[in-house]
Amino acid sequence: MSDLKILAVDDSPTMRRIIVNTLKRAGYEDVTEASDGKDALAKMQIDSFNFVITDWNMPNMDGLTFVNKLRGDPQTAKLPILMVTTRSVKDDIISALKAGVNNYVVKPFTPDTIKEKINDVLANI
Amino acid sequence: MDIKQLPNFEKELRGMREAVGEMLSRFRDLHSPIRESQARMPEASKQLRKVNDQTEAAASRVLDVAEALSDRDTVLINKLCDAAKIAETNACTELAGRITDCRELAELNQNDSFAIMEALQFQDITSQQLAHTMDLLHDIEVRMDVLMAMMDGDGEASQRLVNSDAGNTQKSYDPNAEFAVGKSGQADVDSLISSLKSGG
Repeated sequence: MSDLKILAVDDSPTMRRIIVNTLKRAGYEDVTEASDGKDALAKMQIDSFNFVITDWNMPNMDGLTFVNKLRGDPQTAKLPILMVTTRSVKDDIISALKAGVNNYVVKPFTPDTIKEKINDVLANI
Repeated sequence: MDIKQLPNFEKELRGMREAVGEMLSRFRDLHSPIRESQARMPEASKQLRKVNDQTEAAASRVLDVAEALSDRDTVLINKLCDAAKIAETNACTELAGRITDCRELAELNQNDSFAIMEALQFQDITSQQLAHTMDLLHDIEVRMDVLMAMMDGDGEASQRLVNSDAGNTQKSYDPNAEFAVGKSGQADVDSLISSLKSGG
């Protein structure tokens, strides 16, 4: 079991449950859910996390804005972020990397991909 | 030269008036079907929203069942592990082998439960496709409304279209979301990221 404290941000309740199940299966038990960037920032005010998994297209605050906010705050500037989204266009991936995501997973994903990318991000920070 | 002295002037003018009258009549004929089609647009969007809500509820129910199956499988696998150990301790080799076979089957069942959960990602993707369709319907509705207003002689109607487009830039869905992207898409993403990271 891992001591990683993960914040999973996605506006789809079904998707959040799938991500939580996938993470638990991979040994990550401590997962908090948020429904969009705004909700995620509010949860980060009351709790601390050492890994963020975020969707891109969300209401209220999208994933890219959320990542920009995290990178603009000295306290979260180096927080590992994995973007998990349906967007697979080259320009989108470049924008996400420029905004500061550590890695990028395209939906629909396999549990192995999520596990591999989390390990990859953790190995490179 | 006086324009009225042109040959056939009055005849031409009468012809033009009849043509304009005919055009206006055809516009009027179009008016009702367009208005009726426009009135149906919100209903179409409402139906799509219902489809989305129902598939979300169904996906959630399937997730409940898949999670329950997986949790029971975890208990079963642990119990079968313990039972196999007891059988081995008591030198019941054949029984231990059969218990191990059962444990392997339970593990396969659990893997299938996870595969069901994984496949439910379709819900996120189809809901984005439906959101895109609803947005397109709304856009058509606005354009039809503007067309109707212009036919009714509202000179400022086209400005409403500009205003509507201006307020429509923030999308909380991916219009290109596709279920098929998955595995092949990830390989392309990985290769792009590694080429970008290596300065390519």
